[in-house]
Amino acid sequence: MAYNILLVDDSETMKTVIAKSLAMAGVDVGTIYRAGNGREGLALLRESWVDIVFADINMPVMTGLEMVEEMKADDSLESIPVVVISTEGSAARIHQMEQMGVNGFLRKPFQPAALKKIIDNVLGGKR
Amino acid sequence: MTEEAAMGFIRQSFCEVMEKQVFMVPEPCPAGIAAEEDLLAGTISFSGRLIGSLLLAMPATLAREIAANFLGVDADDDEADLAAPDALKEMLNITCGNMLTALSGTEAVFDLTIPEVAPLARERVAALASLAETLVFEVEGFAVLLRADLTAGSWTRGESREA
Repeated sequence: MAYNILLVDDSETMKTVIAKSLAMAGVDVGTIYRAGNGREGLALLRESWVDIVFADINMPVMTGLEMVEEMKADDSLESIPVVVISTEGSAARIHQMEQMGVNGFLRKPFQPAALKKIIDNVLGGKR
Repeated sequence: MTEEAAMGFIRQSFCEVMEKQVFMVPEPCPAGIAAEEDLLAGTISFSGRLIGSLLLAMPATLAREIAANFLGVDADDDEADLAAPDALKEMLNITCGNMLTALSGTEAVFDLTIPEVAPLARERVAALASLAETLVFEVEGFAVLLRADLTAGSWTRGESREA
């Protein structure tokens, strides 16, 4: 079955790169939803069925981590897996994200195979 | 870490990002460049153990080619033209993140601002390229400037990957 995926990034280019990388990696994708910041991401999550979220950290209006905080405080959203895709390389920040409930982390630049691997790790066995 | 070593990490970070992300190989261009056209310049600020900014400047034509590589379209495609500033921002963002990790290791935490892009007039291009701290590359036949400026902290003090 195909996964519905939400991409949250203020860069249209990066969202397209992720979408194309998913296709290149052979991920079975249903609908790809796109949001430009965490606030838009939350709105889409509340009106759509999403299997996994890929989110940047550094965005205007609402950052990726602020979005994760709101998701974890919302019973209807808290179980949706979130993978952060960022330039962040700090072990301390990654640990902080894990504590917040982020399910996976991918550092830019990345290869399509890395996306597939992280989806398998996070969603493995769910479908 | 010496300032020369720091410059080496900055250079290496940019080259690795260009090669891995858009399959382009920057070559050092130590003799400087002739400022034949205005450039598109992206800037991003960072704060943490080091506080400062990173500037990445290149001709719009190259930014369009990078966007085309990102998107998997032809460089003369309208989609690449529209995405050129965004692609430059993304290259700058990724380079900055990689540079800070290369300079400070994985224990240091940094906050980055959202990158901004503006034209850089050719008079400023020549002046910037002539400064010792500015790294000048040739990428696909185009001149690219990369410059890190610190407002607090020091390349040569504190923790480093070499420590």
